[in-house]
Amino acid sequence: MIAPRHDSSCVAITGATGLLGHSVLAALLGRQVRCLAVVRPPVHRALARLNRLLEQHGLDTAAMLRDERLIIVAGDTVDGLPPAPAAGIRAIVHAAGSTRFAADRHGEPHRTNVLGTMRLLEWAAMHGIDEFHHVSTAFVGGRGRGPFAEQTSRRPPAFHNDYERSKWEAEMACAAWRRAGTKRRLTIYRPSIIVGDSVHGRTTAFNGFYLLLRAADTIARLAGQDPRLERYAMPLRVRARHDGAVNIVPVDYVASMIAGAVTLARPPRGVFHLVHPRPPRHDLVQTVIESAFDIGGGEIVPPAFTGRGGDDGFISDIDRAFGTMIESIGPYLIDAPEFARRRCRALERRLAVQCPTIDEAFLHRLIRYGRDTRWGRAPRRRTVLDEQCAAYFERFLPARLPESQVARVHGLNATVRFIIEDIARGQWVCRFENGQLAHMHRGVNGLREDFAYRTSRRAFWRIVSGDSDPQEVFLAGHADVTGDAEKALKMAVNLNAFSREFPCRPEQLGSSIEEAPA
Amino acid sequence: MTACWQERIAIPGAAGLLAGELAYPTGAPRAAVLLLNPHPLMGGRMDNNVIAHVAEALAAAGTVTLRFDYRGVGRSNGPAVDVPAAMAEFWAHGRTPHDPLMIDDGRAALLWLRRSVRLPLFVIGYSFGAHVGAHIMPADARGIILITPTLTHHDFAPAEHTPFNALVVVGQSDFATPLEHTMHWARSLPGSTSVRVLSGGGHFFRGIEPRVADACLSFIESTLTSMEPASCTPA
Repeated sequence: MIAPRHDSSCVAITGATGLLGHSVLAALLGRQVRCLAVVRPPVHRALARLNRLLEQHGLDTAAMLRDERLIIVAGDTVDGLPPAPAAGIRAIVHAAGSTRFAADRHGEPHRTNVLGTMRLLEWAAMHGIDEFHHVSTAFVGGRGRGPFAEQTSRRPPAFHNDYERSKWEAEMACAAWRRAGTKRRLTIYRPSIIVGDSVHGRTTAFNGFYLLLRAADTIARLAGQDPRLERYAMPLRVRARHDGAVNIVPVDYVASMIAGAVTLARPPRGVFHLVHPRPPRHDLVQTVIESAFDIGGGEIVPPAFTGRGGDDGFISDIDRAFGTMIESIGPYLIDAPEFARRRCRALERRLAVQCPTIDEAFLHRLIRYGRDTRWGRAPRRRTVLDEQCAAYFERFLPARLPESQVARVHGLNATVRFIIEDIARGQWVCRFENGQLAHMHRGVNGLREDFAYRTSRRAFWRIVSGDSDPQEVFLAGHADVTGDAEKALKMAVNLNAFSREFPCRPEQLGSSIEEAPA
Repeated sequence: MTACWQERIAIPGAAGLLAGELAYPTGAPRAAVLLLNPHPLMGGRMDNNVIAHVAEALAAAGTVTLRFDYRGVGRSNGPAVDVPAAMAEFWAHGRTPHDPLMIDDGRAALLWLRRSVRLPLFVIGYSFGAHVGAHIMPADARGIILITPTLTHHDFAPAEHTPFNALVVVGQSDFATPLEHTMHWARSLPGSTSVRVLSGGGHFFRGIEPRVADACLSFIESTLTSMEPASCTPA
């Protein structure tokens, strides 16, 4: 039985603009929990990012700020935390962290992960906050295959890198904080390698497991450019335990578990491995990568393999390039550690949360999202095409739809959210009533859609210019649908008919903005 | 995947020629398979992701496969459709007045395949195509594969009254028919019916088409194996 808490105090969260942080924040806000997000200054930049991220979860940041369901304060766990608000903070979720594997000249990851945690714990003690939820990593156990227990080891194990050490030291600091006060409650969450959400594959961080996918994408592109490379006989080897698995876990699952635990009347104490119970085996990952990137020939070889290669062990330039790109996650492929999750299972039961299945379709989603968003590279400058998308929804569609045959489909009633992934504020909600466009709004506006149709700008223009059928775009994996799939497919028929009757070329919709360079 | 041959063909139908594609293995084929597309208003063309993948995979594995477009779809001949009227009907009921005509098209394709090759016959229908398959399934066919049959939208009465050797392939989260409904229906069929639930699959099997093809191939191979005469053992 879940007994949620309802009170006027709030939950403070650090790292709220990060992948896990904003997902936990969205999950908490979705559970009607008042939140205080501590963001690094300048606040306007953090707010813009938060606005964009929360919008993807259907949350209206402006409205929540207005109602004080969300409070944003500037602060830095190391450089200075804000005074606590009058409303009071009952718990802290510490999701800020550095994922830098090797120590750099700025002192990371130690600075953020250890010093930052210690300062935050001091801040909690100073303000009498007795509930601390700390996000660690499943890999604090260091080297070896495990199974690693859901408990904190006081003796430092042999670590792969500085990141693991910093997270272990942070856990030690948390444990010391808890021992210093009898009322204090400490919960440590240890996710494995966090990847995009289970529905869209959406992420904001393309490190970790994504290094493998990005490396494959690069190799595939090279194969397309260099005729000497045989794309189905790539001379490369990946050292990994053949029967091993890479423990990745969808961000929405981790966020649900943490937000669920925070809202319990008596939050659980101790360590929880938020890892996947059935992680994908290496051979499945290989199959999906080969299929998605249309390459082949790569071989998984045992970790101790010393077959013929150059002085540095690589068998080709491609092998060297690939090996360098995935170097930092290499140890995790070789060790393929296993984790106990008895306590996690009990918490899942308590919260009625299930870890989503990771199968071929899921892995394809991760890849599709990564490619569609150029693996998180900065979006291109606002272009003519961006402006023309707005012109399409705001001028072309309302003007032409009443003249079209779709207007004769009297039973057509649906609210659709069109999401163009690679455009800032690229969401338009259209309400169709009896074949007519009754309402159209850009961005989040509180209208609950029957379904959302998510695609890239490029695919969108192919659709509205009548060159591609939206159903085919979906079936080919270049678009995603959430919500009522049947209605979405039926609407796609109508959109296709409309685009064939009134094809819209971007050049028809003028703009004063200059085209960005390619 | 082993190579296969593919050739475009034209099938005489009641409303003109239906465009089809025949695929066959480089070696001797063991069976013939007719593939039936989803509804044309629901991505039902012969280049549909599931239909095209299954056709090619089965052909490469030793069967002759025929896929085709219903009348008025793709390169198939057919009278012009009153699109708004069809869309309105489809929006309201998930059906159109032209749906029964597609059963006739399925029969024409079946006739063409039977005249062209004399091999053990199988029918595979996907989504709406499963409804077409249930209506045209000949008594002497070796088996029928119903992929995510649209049980709540279309009539599957022939399959409910005839003891087919059938396989039902369904995604774990099929929006068109709840999994429990499909399982219950499959258990009630009079013939020998097995069900294969594909985890991670919805109605469209995007990204897991090879697993659909594997399920179809296993069913066809096990049926063919059970048809072979038992090997003689010395007394």
